Amino acid sequence: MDLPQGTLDLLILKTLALGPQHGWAISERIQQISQEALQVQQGSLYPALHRCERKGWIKPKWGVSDNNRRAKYYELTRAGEKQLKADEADWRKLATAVGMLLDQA
Amino acid sequence: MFTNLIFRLRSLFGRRTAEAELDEELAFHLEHETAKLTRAGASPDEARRRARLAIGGTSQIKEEVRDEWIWRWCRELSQDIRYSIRVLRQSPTFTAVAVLSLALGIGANTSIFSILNAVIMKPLPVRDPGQLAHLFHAGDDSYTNAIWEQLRDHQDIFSSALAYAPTDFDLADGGERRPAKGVYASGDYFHTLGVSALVGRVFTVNDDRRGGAPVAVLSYGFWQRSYGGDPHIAGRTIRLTGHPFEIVGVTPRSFFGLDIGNTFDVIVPLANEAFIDAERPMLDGRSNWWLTIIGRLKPGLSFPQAAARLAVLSPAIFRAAADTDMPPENLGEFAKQKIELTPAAGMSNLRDQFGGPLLVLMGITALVLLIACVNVANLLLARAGARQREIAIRMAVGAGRGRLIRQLLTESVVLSLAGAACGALLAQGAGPAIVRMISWQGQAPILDVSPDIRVLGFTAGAAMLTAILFGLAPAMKATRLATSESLKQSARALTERRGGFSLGRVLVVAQIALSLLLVVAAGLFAGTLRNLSHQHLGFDTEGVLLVEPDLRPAHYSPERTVFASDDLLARVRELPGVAAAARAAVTPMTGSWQWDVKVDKTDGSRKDVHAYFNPISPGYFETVRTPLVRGRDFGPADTKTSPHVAILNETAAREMFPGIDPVGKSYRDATMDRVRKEFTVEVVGVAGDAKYKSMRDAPPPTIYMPIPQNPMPMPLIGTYELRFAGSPSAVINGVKDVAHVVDPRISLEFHFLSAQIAAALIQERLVAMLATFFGLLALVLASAGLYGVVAYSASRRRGEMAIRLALGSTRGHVLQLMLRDLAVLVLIGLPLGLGASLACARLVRSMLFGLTPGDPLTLAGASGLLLLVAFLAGYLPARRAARLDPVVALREE
Repeated sequence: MDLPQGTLDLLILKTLALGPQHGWAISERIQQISQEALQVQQGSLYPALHRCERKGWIKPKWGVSDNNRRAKYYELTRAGEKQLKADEADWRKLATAVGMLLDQA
Repeated sequence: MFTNLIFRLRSLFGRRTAEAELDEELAFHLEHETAKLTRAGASPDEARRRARLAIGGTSQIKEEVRDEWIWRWCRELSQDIRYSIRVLRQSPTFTAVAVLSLALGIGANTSIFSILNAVIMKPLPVRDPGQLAHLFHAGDDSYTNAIWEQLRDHQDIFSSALAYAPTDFDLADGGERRPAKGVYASGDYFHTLGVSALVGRVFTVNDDRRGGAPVAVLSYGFWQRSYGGDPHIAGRTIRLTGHPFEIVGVTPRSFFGLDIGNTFDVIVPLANEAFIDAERPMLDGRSNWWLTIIGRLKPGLSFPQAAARLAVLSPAIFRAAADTDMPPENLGEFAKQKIELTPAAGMSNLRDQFGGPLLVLMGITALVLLIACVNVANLLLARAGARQREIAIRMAVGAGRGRLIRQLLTESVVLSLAGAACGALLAQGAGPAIVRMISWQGQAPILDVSPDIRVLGFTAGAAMLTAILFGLAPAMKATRLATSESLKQSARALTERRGGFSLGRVLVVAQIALSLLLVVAAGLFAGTLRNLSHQHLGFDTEGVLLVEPDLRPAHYSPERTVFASDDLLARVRELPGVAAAARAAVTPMTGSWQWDVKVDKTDGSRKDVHAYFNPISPGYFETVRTPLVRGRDFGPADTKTSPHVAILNETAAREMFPGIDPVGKSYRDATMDRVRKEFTVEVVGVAGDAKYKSMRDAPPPTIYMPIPQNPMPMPLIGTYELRFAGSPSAVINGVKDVAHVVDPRISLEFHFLSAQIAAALIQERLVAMLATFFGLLALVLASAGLYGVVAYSASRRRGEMAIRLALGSTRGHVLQLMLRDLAVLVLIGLPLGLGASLACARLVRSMLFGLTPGDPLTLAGASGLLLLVAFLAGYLPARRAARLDPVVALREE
């Protein structure tokens, strides 16, 4: 299933809420957790990461990966946490509303 | 421009790291994806392929990421600008002072630059001016018509070429002349320049024929002024110096001819000169060097190639064009001359006269701007102290130092752009006003000083450069202090440091040195003007009217011309209010007649003396009040056929007859025309030295001769000098009346000798006035800066002073304490400024007159003035500090 517009940022923030990660790990994590139901277009991940960085939600820092290589890690900022909370709430509201609509109509 | 470069380098540099990091990030991703796929059982190649497929096109990803970066940069910039404007609006006094300082500095620079641009840099208003070549020979650019015709018919380097010469036409038929600026131009003039008519047509080679119907082309300005822009102008007739010409067209508005700073009214084909000067056409004179030649290089031909070809062609051209009676021994030398060419950037006396001075003024205004920068830097530094808390807080919440410096620099740029905008407005008015200052005989040079792309670029560049100059150091300093430290302390830590080396003190010293330099420059140039205008000229300029009659429209025979000009002089002498009158070929500062004469020495050998000549009528010395120190004046008995006589000035007497009385002695001269024949001239008198053609040069050896004995074959009328008392207009009207009686066709032109002398000093006056103005501006800026620094330090040290006063210090002592600090800075700045002045004044040595670059009086005066201004600027705020009430001040602490 393809991602609806604008949800990728939310998924990135949610993934990073568990701890700093590099790009590949973020895309893997999203796919694993959604049990492969959500197919993240790997190509669109990086522009999204830089967009989140521009908006000040995440902050890059260079670290060392499991196999001892230099890698760019992203971590959530305070602004990012806030944004995540707000977006999460919005999504839940929307999902509930749409669900109710589908159930009852 | 320079700042722009730095910005670009920096962003480029930053960008390159970012690009590398992005590459690394994507490579890392691919590697992990490939590893995962390999673990799942794919072959390494297959895994790599699928990984690449999964991520999609990397270049497209990079493109999208880059878009994000640009967004981010723009957003931060607009944030910075909005923030800067908010911050600047919070302190309107600071902003106003800073913007005003910068506006004056940038405005001064833009004004001078826009003139420099118009005089030196703007290309000619013609098609493809880069391909036009200006022809020279031995540093001179005038040619005879014979050379022009030879060159035109035998050259193979120009696709077409033109010759032209400026002239004066008279629009009036007799009476006071109504001069029109004319140009004689060869038929190919417009074709070569690629200028076409706005109305009607321009003339062509077909119109440039002797005996052809005379046609004229008008300039746009003349067409507007004299014909109200009549759209049906083509076909109307204009009378030039008594001859009717058919107007065939009007040139476009942008076309002012080929002389920068000048324009023309009417252009007529070259061939017409033959009947306007019918008595002795310059077209036929093989010794009349009067034409300027311009050629358009054939496509693909370079200047060096063309020059090489011209060098080959030159001997034949000169040989064929040589004067028919040139002695054979001279011909070889004559034909050896080579025609050289340079890119035609516009012919301009204006450029020769004002190019150097404008560059000097440009340097002066650059220093004014530097002082303004120092002022603003000082203000920013003081503000940085006050803003220490704000900056510390912003750093504490995570703003990077680079980001903060960028923010502070943005503030500087906003300030300097505001200053540049106001400065450009100032320059809009100041530029044309300065151009009007260099007008001559009431006519300002025609210069287009409106801003073009170069002026705008210059102003923008100056703004950016100044922003970096005054903004960078304070911004670096403001962000350097450790955050926690300054949060704890009160704001005063930054500038409280006294003594020793600090940025603020260095700036004050620089300001003092720079303003001293500018005051010295003003003093030197003002002194030069004073020396030039108050020197002994050797004649009395006041109360002398100069009248130039033109008898050509009367078409007299030579004998009749001589009679009429003598008749006119006699009648003028009878006019009421005229004390004395005479005629002379040369009036001071207008031109020169010069050649060599031979003197027999006592040992039998001969020596050549290069002399300046002036054919004059009897009464000349009395009229201009040059003393006749020995011998007699010329009289009616000195005629064309009587023995040759001369009056020497003292310098000529000394050079030609050292140590003896020259009266009664003789020398040898030669006729210039036709056969060179020597004759003897007897010296009958010695006159006092008088300036001849230069206000700066000492009077040259000058030989006066009776007008009838001048070597020109045609009768010489010359200029009439009238010493008058009372109303000048009454005398002018009187001259008009008697000229009308002699012949109503005579046309007249009037000048005053004093105005002619003043005009010779236009350049010096301009430089002196502007240098003085900029010197004063520098003093005002510097004193504002000093005032600010002392006032600021006084407010910082309030507590200290209060304690001192409470403990029993006298107010005088506190005052002294405040001023001592300033005095140290002034005493460091003053010698630095003097040193800089000595070094810089040497560069303008050739522009000075009557004083040396290190003129002690000027240096002392400038130092004194600067000390006084510095003292006043420091005293006022220091006195206020000394008057504070210690009880009130300490309670505030």
